[in-house]
Amino acid sequence: MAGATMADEGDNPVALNVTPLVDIIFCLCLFFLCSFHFKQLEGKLDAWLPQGAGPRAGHGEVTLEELRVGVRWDAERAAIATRVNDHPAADVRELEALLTQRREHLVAAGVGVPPVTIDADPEVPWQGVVRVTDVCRRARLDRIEFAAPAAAIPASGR
Amino acid sequence: MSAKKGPSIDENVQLNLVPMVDIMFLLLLFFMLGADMGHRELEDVKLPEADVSSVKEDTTPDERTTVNVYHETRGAKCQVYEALQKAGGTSSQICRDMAHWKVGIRGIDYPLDGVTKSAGPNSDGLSMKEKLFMEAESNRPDPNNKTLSERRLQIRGDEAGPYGVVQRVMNTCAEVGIYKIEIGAATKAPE
Repeated sequence: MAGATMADEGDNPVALNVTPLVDIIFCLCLFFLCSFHFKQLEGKLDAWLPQGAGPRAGHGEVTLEELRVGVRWDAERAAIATRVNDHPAADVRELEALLTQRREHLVAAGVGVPPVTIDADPEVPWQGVVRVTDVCRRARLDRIEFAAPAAAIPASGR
Repeated sequence: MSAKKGPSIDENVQLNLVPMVDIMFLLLLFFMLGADMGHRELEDVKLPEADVSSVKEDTTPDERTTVNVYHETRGAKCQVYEALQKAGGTSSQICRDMAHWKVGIRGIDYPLDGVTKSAGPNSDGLSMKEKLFMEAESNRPDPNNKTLSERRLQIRGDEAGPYGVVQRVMNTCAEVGIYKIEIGAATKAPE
């Protein structure tokens, strides 16, 4: 590297000595090469916690206009079991179909689309809960709430 | 006799560095732009995948609080979690030992019960509830109404964690009035 610039200097009195530049770029490249890992592309799913809905959000009776997805942990099968209101769903596709059907029914009845409340067992893997949330979004249910135990509801909400 | 002279060769060999410098610049640019220097408060969490998660950033990191839920055994081995990692996260058995799961906010671990004060070298001496209350206080539309806050909270939970851990964070949020939740999810790579 240095030899080339010496020759340049002989030919051209204003030659630019690029050796330090190349050295520094080498060092920078080495640093980034060693510390490099790709960015994980992260997204988010918006959801809501109960605010003024009070204990009903977590422990009330299911009404006709309500959409509640229960997520339970089936220890025998080591798998999650889901249901929409009182209708069990065998798998994720059936869950999506049930939610879509329920949504269309409510829209046709002029009730409007209520928020869907996800009521999950503490034993359920977080991946399963996120999967259910994802299915709700795929079924065009954008208002997603999580049921909370009554003890967690602010006092004014009761 | 005159000595024979060989042909004179002008050995003026110059190394042209310009293409190399160009390529080095391009490499440097690639690594700089591709490097993950994002401040994510900063635990390494394997996020669950979601198909329809939004990658649009409508809040800045200053406008939201990030809570990381991650597995940390402080050197001890957790066979269940390790087996899960080896299986690529597909095993149905997850680590349900609550002592192995940590809740981190701005680099500080808080006990899961919400009321026990944090301890350790980086501790701020607050409980999770107190910390989240302070976060909630930063964006209350009505200062006299302590039950609602407009503060957004992003939960970055490990996909192999039990929902009960995240639920405790949510319960604490509900108690302090934070109700706008963002669930961190990894977007699937395009096939």
